[in-house]
Amino acid sequence: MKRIVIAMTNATTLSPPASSRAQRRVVACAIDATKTYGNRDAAVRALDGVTVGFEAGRFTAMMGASGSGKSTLLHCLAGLDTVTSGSVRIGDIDLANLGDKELTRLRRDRIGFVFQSFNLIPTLNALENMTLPMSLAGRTPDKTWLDHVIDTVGLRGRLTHRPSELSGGQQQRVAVARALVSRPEIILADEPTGNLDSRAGAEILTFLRNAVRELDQTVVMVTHDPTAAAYADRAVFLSDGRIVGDLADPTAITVLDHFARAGS
Amino acid sequence: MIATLTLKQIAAHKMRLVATAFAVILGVAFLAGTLILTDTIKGTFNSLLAKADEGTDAYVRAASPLDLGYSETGSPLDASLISTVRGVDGVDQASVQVSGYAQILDGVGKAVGTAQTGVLGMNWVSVAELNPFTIDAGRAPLGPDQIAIDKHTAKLAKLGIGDLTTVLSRGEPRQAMIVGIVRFGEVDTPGGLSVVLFDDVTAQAVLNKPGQIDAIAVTAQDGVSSDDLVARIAPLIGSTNEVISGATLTAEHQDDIGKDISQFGVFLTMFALIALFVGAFIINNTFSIIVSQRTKEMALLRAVGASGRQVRLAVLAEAAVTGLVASALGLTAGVGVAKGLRALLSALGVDIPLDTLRIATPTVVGSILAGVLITLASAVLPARRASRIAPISALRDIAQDRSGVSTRRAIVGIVATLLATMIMAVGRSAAEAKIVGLGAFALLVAVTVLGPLLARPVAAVIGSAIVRLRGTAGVIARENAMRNPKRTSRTASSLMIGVALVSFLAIFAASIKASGAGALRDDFRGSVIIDSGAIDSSSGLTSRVAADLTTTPGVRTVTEQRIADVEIDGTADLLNAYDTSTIAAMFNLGEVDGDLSHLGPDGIAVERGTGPGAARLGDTQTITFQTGTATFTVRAIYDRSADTIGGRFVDLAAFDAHLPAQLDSRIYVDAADTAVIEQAVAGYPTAKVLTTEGFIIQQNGSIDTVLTLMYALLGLAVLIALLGIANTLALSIHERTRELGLLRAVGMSRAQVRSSVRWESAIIATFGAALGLAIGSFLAWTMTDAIVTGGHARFIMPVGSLVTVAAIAVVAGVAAAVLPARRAARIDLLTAITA
Repeated sequence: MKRIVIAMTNATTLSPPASSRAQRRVVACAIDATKTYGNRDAAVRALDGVTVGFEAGRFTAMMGASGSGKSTLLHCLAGLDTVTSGSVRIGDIDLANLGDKELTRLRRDRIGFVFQSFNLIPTLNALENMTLPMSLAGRTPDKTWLDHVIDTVGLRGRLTHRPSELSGGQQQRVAVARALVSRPEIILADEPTGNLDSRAGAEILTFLRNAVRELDQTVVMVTHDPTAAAYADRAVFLSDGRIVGDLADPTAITVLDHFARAGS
Repeated sequence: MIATLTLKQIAAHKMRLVATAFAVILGVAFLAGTLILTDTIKGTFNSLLAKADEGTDAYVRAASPLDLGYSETGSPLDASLISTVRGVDGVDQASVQVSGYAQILDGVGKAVGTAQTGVLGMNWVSVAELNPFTIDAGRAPLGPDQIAIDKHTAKLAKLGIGDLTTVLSRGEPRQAMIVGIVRFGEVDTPGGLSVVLFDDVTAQAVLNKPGQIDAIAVTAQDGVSSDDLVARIAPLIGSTNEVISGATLTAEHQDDIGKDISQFGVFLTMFALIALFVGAFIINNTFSIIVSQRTKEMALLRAVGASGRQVRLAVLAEAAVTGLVASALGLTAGVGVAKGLRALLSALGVDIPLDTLRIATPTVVGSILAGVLITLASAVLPARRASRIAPISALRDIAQDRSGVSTRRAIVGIVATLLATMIMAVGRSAAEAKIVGLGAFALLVAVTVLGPLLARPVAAVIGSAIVRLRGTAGVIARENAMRNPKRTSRTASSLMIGVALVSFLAIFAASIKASGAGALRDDFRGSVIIDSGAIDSSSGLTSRVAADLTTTPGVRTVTEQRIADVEIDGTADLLNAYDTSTIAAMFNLGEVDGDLSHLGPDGIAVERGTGPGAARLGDTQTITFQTGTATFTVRAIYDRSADTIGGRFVDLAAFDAHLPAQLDSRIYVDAADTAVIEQAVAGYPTAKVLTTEGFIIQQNGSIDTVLTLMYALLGLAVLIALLGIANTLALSIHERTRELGLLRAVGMSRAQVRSSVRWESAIIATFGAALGLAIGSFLAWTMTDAIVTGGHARFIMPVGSLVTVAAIAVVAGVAAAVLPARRAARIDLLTAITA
């Protein structure tokens, strides 16, 4: 019985919603991923057979209450954490087969990160922080693209400022810029607006949406805020380590609706 | 409450205190080790000497105005005095004592023992109670052709009973048969000394003159006290002689040896204190970092009602507990250090008897106190800073600490640096090494104050080279080295002190060597120097050597040199004596006022001085010899060669009149052909024929030996400094966990993380080494000029050695970062970023 439920869930999540324009390439996916913390007696299942794919050029919000497994899933997708069973892929690479060196290179070259807080290296200025992954790879960023990103996030006048000299919103914009500069295959954002006031938060979300719409990036964002989710093209709901819903073109109302139904 | 908190803090953060503890442990261990070693050596000698003098109730000798060293005597006594002493009521037995220079040759004709280890000829005292030696094998020497030697010397020479050997002494070398092997109480020989024993008559002939003895040792009849005996003998021996009790003799002997050992102990203790001083920086740094890392926690304590004083006490209590535990461990480790030091000294050729280690109460109390006090003193400032943390800080994020860069610090630092440099300059022109040294210490402190101001710009400069080399890892390294100038500076300071001292020694030694060599090359006009290796003229070369040379065809000029410890106008000094008829031919003395060749029995020649105190012709100087005091008149003043021949000298005849039985320390020879000299001295194995360059090499060799020992001892301070670097990095990395997590998340590889930590360490080490080199060079420059006079001072930068010192410091700095770097690379990513 359980097997059938999983199969059905898989079917729904893997096939794009009807509203989708054309069949898109899957940039990242988890297949039957489980994650267990602790030993057998006190084991906690953070992920309990999650299968989900993220398509290129889309902005996906991953939602769920705290402890639902949404952050764990994000960390596993990012190669920061490993799944206990099942597999996680970025492009056609199975992360389970990668050692620390390859994972590092993968994060550096193919993934962009935006964390909730402490996103920047305090000793580096805004520009250095933006280009950090590329410098670490020993590459110089494409000048035109870099300029474009800087203008997009509106930080032209703040490039030589240290993080301590920037507001929280500006710091998150630097983080978004950093994620964009290396043109990763996927940008993973972990509650990027969690520490911001609503105006700065809206700004960041707009940037992320623009990155998808105008710069053709792929973004997966963990959030518990329905308003934030409304900026996304798709909302995936997790609860107790499982995918419990998948919503195309979410709005704050449809998201709240979903929670309301899940709660009842 | 504060006590509970302190103990909990220590328990919770053991690792943070490990380096502090190590710095204290190492410093205290070295201090305790030094004290234990010197106490033990002193103790060993004291019991040896007490045993040796045990049977002596009274001791008759010539009175001496100088404090005589062990086995040294004043004027000789007439041997007939012994019948007078024997006739005193209450005297049981009396025996003459004769001592002087004698040493034997081994089977291949090499002299056994050196002036450094000690060589001594004595008479075999037939009264067993008065004889410190006991027969181990064979029998007592009897007659002019028999000797006994100590067991240690027998082993060294590989000679035994019945073997024939050559005995070197004041006269012609003579053949003798070894008939006895003796021991000194429980040991083969006291302190590595090589002893040759003759019968009474032979001893007088070989060591002194027939009919002359050095002392009379006396035992009392039963029922007569030592003091009574002394009182009865005193009136009968004449006013120039004295009699002392056996106890006084023992005390004198113990005091003589004790002084030598104490001097050596002070030398070692100095290095222990340097190590503790370096350790103070590390302790201070650790506590500063701990306080800044705990800012929130302490603010919380303040917010819930702790007073500033309580917070301060908590930090100090933590320091006290750490200091106490570490000092106790250091004391324990000191026992091992004492053994290690002894092994080190043995390796360098200084053999020291050592039975069970003596751990005296002052050692225990002193070491623990030193360790605890230095820890507390180093924690005082961080504790005060902790007490000033505002409760509101609990609610704020910790801002970056840039407090190092204040105007007040700049002013104080610059003024202090200028003052210190001025003190050193004053010491340099006044030729006062002590003032230069004091200024150098002040300079080290002043630069430490300036350090935080220098740290940022210097780290930026060094860092940009690394950025070019290592890219982003270099940028991270540079920025981290710059982010907390105080921390960087404090960490570098400890290395700075070590490098300053090492580079000072390297430059100073090179300069002294070059100055000495230059002076000799410039002013020595002869062809060879015959060196006996003796440190004063109580041993050395028989005057037969010079006599033989004078009659050797091809030899033009011969100048003998004798040296003695004397007091000149009340100050201890060395007095040289030369053939004044030849000295001016042998050395370029420059312009000479007065008449060198007519110094006479009471004339002295002195180097031309400057300033109001300089000696002028006709001035008088009072010289106190072992045998008595005499007034000398300045009859000549010379300009050059003082670095080689000394700042003053008298004629040989005048010297011998006061100090009979002396030997030549060196003989300077001018000859057409050095081969004839070699031939002429072939029969005297202690006569080493050296060309000017050969002599320079030998002199440099002895400087290098001391240098090696000092480098080894400074190694400890450098080791502690490196420990400090490792500790600072470890604490910094702990502080930067989230940042490292972020770096790893956005794609920094483990290798890059390690690289950035290593290069940060390299920047700190380079900063410290550069400051150290600068201070060391300046100190060496001023010190060389302060010590070398007569215009011979040459300032030599031994570039090779300095580059090596700097390279070792930086490489060691990188090595110190290996463990912290590994730890940084292995942080758990997920924990770091979700923290």
